[in-house]
Amino acid sequence: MTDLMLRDEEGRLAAVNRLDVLDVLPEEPFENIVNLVRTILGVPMATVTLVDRDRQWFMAHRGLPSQQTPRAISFCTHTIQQREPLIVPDARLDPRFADSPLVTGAPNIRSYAGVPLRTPDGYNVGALCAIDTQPRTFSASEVAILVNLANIVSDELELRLIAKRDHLTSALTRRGFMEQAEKEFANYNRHGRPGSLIMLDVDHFKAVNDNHGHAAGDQVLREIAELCSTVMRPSDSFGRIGGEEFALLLPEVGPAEAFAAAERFRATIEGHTFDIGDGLSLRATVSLGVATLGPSVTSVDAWLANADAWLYRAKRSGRNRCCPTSVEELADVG
Amino acid sequence: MMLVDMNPDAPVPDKPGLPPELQASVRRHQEHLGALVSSLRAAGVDEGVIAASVKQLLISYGMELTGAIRSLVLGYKND
Repeated sequence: MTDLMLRDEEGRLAAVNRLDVLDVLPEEPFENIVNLVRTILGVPMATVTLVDRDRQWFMAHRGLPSQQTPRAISFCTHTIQQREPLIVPDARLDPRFADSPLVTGAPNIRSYAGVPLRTPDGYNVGALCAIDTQPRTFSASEVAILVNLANIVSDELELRLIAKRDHLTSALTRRGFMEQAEKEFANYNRHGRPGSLIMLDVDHFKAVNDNHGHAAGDQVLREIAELCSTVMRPSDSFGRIGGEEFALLLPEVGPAEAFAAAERFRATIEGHTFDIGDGLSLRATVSLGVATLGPSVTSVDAWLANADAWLYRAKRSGRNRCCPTSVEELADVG
Repeated sequence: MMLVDMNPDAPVPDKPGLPPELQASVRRHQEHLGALVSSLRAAGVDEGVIAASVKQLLISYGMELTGAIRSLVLGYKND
């Protein structure tokens, strides 16, 4: 399982994106940790690095001139392929790095110690690194210090994830979801990449609460979130944006796939039996509204409003359905 | 400040006021800080530097923890 996760690059990139810390200003907690690495290990350079699809991005760095480098020339892209620290005593003698511009030119890296930063779900999203301009053998006690500091970085990243998660369902909070939607919208504006949004509301949810109690309602919401998480791709985002209202963000997904995905979510929930305790069970359905990015969508709010309007139509049309009702209709609205 | 007492092997108390996911996170963080203190000592780092480092790390973690608690408290309830 562990080795499989090391090879699951799409899942790993999704984990990087969930952290939502790429391209933000330097933050004090991580600046403090790179300062500690530099001081305690006596190295001129230290970084907290995240490995994105095509680049390594420094959440915090000391002694390096830039905020990011291409991934292809990075040391950390090798570090995240393993669970153990990567130690390079002399980069000029290591065929993986001898020709790297980071070694042959500024910042003239000669030795490197990197410890993977692991998320609670097991993905290596980056590394905590100590870097020297001289060949160096990092002692076992120095590596142990770096490992422990990397664990503390991972602790803080985990708290950020918790802060973005809804306590009841583990879905993203509305705020966390909106941040992801903003990114997707920016990606569309910059690169014209497709993207789709599905809003999902539990049908007659008030009756569940009234007839079976709030604990049963909680259980239904939790199970719906679990079902959606099972069906969605690692790169999708799932948020609870209201009491019984959820939203799914599907990057790189156009009208046809979005419509198929919405139908898949609807059918999965319709076919599920919800165990509400005391030997009781119930069935629940959802209504869904789908909206894809297109020229008429001028903001994230407008995108959500489109999906919400279709959701409202699904409710008015009898519930337990997706609107629009065909791929063609969805594409027309785009 | 328990960890500045420099006994990394001391048992970590439960935090009954915290939600379960934060309890686990706090416990792990304390274990990691304890391990860090041990490794710093093993490397011969000055006790004053260790204390200052741990204090700084606790402050940073405390800020993140506050954010997580705030998010949990403000989350949607089913009512």
